[in-house]
Amino acid sequence: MMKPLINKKNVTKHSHNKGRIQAISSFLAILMALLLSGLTISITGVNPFAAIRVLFSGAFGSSYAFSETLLRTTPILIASIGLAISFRCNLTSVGAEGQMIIGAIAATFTGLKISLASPVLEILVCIIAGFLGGALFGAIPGYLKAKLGTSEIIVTIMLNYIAIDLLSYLLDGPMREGGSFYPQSALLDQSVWLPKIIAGTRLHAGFIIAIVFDIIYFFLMFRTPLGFKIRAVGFNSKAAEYAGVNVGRSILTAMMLSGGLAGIAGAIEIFGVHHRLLNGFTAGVGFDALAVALLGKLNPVGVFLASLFFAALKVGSNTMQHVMQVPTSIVYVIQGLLILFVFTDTLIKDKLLYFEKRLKTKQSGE
Amino acid sequence: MESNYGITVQGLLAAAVRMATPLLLAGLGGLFSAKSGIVSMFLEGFMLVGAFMGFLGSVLTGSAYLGILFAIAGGMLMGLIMAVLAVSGRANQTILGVGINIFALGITSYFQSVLFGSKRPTNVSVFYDIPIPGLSKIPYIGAIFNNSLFVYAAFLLVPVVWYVLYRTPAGLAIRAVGENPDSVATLGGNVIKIRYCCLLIAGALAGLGGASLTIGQTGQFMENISSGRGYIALAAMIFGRFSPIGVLIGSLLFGFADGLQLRMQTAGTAIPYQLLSMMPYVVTILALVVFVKKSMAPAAMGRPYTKQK
Repeated sequence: MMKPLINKKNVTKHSHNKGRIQAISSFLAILMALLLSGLTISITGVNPFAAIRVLFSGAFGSSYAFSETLLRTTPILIASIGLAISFRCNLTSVGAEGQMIIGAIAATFTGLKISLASPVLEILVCIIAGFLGGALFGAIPGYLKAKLGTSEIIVTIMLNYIAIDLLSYLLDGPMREGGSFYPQSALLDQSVWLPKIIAGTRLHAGFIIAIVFDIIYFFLMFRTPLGFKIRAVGFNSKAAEYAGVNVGRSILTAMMLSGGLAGIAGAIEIFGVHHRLLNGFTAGVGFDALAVALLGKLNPVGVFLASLFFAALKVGSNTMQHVMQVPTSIVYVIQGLLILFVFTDTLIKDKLLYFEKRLKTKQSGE
Repeated sequence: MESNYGITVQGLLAAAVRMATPLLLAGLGGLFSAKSGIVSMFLEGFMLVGAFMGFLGSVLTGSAYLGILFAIAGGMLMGLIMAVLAVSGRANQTILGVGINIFALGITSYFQSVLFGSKRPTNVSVFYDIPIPGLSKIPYIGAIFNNSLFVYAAFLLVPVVWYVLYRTPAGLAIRAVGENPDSVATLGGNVIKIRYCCLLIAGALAGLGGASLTIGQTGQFMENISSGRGYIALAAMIFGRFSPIGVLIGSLLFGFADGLQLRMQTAGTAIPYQLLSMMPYVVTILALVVFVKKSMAPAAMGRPYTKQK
């Protein structure tokens, strides 16, 4: 968990010692967030160490538990890579939840309508449909931001609520399974379900796709002109514009890629896990992805580890609730505290630097 | 209470005013932090804490009035946390806002489960509608004057906030800090202290706005009861160009959209309810797109302040 949270830029730019202080302060920030979370658990009268042991065994205790954690990691990782792209462009997108839903709708609709000779090709077409659905939904805040400067934060949040309502409407009417009592779509044909990668578990090929996207994310951002443009706009849009980057187009592209990835995350949840469209299938993954992108500091390795960590929290917290009666909402407490502490580690860093300075003056005085 | 009206002018006005109240209270609170240069992303979280604390206070003490004190205290505590992290810690205010909102969602749901579980307290003391004699009998607009204390307080606060911000030395200092903190510091003002105070006021008002959702309405707290209203209040603020009157107009617009869709749902139109419940969110986006041409945000918004040596 620790290493990727170190801001590499700081490490290389400053002295070795400053890098170490950054590492120590990040570590202390995480420690403090976890301590406070433990304190919150202990309020219920439960021993927090026992609770965390249960949580860990729930997430990693058996190969099945571990496969469930990886299953949960999959959509969080894909959606958080998407959000990381928009954040790299200095766009605070909160829209992964809604874009996942639209992507899932587009993919499921395609999956139910078309029938190709090759199932692999059909899955591919459906996932591309998911990408396009999410990308188009992401294009709305992107276009408004680029053309009018409308706050992408507010537009993406509003679109999340709109997407939830739209899904509920579609499952009540146009996309509802004929004769079904429940608001759900028809079941996808088994031939287009994402294949399992470990027999006896629910872990499906989407996990491999997620890893591939994480690697693509690295190359896209740091090895291609497009990634360079997106980062340049995020770093200083005025300077980027002066250097000839089309700022508006970069913003739109970043938001569409961001939405598209969330759309794929949604499609993969449907084709890999649920096999039909359901209300609430996202289970808050879009919001987890937001915390993950931030805590992973938009770094490919950091985002992967943070996804794994939060997936483990989610999966383990269910066991913890079952065994120790600690409400699963503790996960949000931990997420929130981690963001608050990790992003305020400058406070700790300042203190550490101050002590180091005092120590040095003392030594030189002797 | 809601279904007596059908879709009439009175009914719509009453609903608009009622739905606008939490937005207005939170928006006025957000104005203080925004004017002092702090991004008000945290409103959603502050509202949630206020909603829960108001409910908790009312359950514990049996008095809705004491519930209000709980809500204000809870909101101010969140304001203090935000101030320590954003003003002293100089962290990215938008990211902190995200953190505050996730934390607030977690902590309120957590304590709701721990304290009450599935046993929802009934008979929670709430604020009842108090008709204002005479005014509540006026045709058409009379319905506005038959509301709870929250509603009256919110609307009376608009001129108060306006006066404080634009006609008092403290208000001048707040606005100056949001535009150019360095010049305030040069003139001997304490930027840090002013921003702390503004976040405490924002916490108190947003907490009050949250409380209006619980002890101002049904007397129940549900997980994520604010359901995006903090963000709509933020939108009302941007739409209202960071002025109290603007926030009022924005809140009324979104309140009206919300009231209208609720009325249409209860009146039983042929339109599916999901398409109706989208309406306030669609209106929020359209209002920002149509009316906000360029950002009117204070110049120093979002920039952490470091004391010049």
